[in-house]
Amino acid sequence: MFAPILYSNLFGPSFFSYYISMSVIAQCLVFISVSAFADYGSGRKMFFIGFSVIGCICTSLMATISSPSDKSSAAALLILANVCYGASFVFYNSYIPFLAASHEDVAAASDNQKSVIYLSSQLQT
Amino acid sequence: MTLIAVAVAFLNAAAPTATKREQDEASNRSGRFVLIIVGIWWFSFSLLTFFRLGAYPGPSLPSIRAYLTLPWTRLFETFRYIVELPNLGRFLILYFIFSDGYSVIGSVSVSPFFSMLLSWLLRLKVSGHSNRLILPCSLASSLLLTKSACQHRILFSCLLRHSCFHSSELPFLKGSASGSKTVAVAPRHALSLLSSPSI
Repeated sequence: MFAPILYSNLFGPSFFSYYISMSVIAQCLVFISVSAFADYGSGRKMFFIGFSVIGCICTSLMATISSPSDKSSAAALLILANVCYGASFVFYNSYIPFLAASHEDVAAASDNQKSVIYLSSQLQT
Repeated sequence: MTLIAVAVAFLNAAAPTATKREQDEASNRSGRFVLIIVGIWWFSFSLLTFFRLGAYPGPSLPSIRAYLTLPWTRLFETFRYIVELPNLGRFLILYFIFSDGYSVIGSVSVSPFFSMLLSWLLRLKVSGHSNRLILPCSLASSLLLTKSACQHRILFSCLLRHSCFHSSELPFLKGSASGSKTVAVAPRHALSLLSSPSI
């Protein structure tokens, strides 16, 4: 009734669609399990660089596949590369509060001391 | 970059006397070369990030067990906040729908220049004739669409695309148009090779 999860007879254009869908399921689990580490320790930069490098190595390793007999390694590399690429986006987004902290809208909405000084200086003009 | 793209287009060629295995290997030589370039590009910019980006550290994790449990407890805490903050629930549902639509449109929609370039490249393999006028026509149509303020640029680009796909009706544009209908579907699949994952 259901297709087997690792469908090894697949070839042609549907190969990538199928395994990208598998990678999205994996992304769903990995993103939740990993995103909290952006707030603890030095996880923000470490995980960002780590996932980027692993994804980069996996995409480069996909270049070694030249024949239809390497389908299983191509599938594994594709799933891993997609998951790492998406996970690096999670940590990329975790930098947004620090990059946007000096924007005037963000300063107006926050109630720390620096924003009060900034806003009061804007009133004088 | 365009030089690399043009060079990649000609990597696919194999000598007609090669064995089937060598021809198979040659046919995906350009895709594999592109993957290596992607790897080099990605790695060089992540090196830049490694050296220049700040770390912004936070508190350390309370225990080793927290490596597994903490992300999921934080997720369920967010769902518990919805009771106090109803806008949060609305935001979560609507952002889910928005990002789904964004990634679908981004992966499915294809610019006319790309589709024509890919169909030209694939047609080299499919038909055996080299349709030399597809590439200049696609370049011209993309230039017309982006750079000129001419009001008829959309009409001109449609005319060019129409002429490229139905070139057998125009005697001065040589090339095979029989494969055009099947080839027009293939660029989308080929682009899915290089497409980004959903955000």
